[in-house]
Amino acid sequence: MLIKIDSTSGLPIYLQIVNQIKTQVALGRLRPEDPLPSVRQLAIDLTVNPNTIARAYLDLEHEGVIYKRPGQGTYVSTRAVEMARSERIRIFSELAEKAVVEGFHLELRAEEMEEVFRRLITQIKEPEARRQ
Amino acid sequence: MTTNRADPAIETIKLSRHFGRYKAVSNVSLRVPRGSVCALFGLNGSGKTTLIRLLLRHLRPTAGTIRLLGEDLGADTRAIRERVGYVAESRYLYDWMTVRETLEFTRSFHRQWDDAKAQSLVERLGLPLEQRVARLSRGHRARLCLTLALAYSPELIILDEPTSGLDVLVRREVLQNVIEEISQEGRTVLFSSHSVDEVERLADRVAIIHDGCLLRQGPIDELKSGSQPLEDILVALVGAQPAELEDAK
Repeated sequence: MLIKIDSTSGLPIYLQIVNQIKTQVALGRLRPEDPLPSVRQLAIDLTVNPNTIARAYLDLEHEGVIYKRPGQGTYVSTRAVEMARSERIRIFSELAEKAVVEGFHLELRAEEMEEVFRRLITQIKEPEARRQ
Repeated sequence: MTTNRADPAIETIKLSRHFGRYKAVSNVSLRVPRGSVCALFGLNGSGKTTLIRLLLRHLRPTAGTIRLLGEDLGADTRAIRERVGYVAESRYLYDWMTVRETLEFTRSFHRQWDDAKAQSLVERLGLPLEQRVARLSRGHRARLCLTLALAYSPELIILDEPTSGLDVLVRREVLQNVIEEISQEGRTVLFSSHSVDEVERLADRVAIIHDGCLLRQGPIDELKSGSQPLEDILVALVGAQPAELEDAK
């Protein structure tokens, strides 16, 4: 599991871990019933205080992204994938926001930007539709 | 143990150490609860090392008191030494001993010494047992000190700049071993550092020292309210005018 900690970011480390695990679920890199490393192991791998990892896992558990099997370990829950839709929208929104901000800097009108998005969507969707 | 579990692991009251007219540590009342990982953060020359040497009784205070694990740190430190492990520049190693001899020598002072643990640290850290201390590289010396500090599973671990001057690989190894220790219930760690990255990764509490004075102490989350990077907060704090802080005392 690839997680990168950036201590120059203002985001607390436990939130960085929460967000990155959610992102990996949303992108399908982590699938339902995949095991997560133990708190101790992830703490050692990331050289981060184990309490911080435990706190991230607790948050993810509360949100239903992961669950504990007593005496076995922590796994990605099945519900995580349904929930991941809102997470996917969040990731996409972040990317789209950058594009829209750039658009305004380039003094494009809202309709022009919408047009670009629509054209890109059809361009990318069409070959996919033809394949089916 | 006769001491109460509720006692803090470290408690200093108005601790000072002067060198002539120079106040290296001034009126420091530090409190580190048990089970926490506390970073002692400060710039070079801020008084971190002097404070740690006072805690280890490598130096005597000019004024003030120290309690470690609920016991007064007086003239007789034998009992408390069993329960405190440390890595510090001021740790004395005999240059003419080999690594093996150093381990055996230190072992003789600790009833709690765990041979299996020492063995596993030696293997994990790749220590050359037959090499003389004088000929150890800086990295191996740091690894040896770490082994000496952890092999008797002390309740309190004090580390003075545990990673300073080490290359990235050794640094990571040292931190991972410290984390391994933290994972055990009830361990308390105090480590000094001027690396914001290290503080943020390892600590759940931070004590900020500047010009010998303790500026702030508490849980890192309380210090870090909002989304300001820890670095900005720390720099803003220690960037304050030393003269002002002196007056505030």
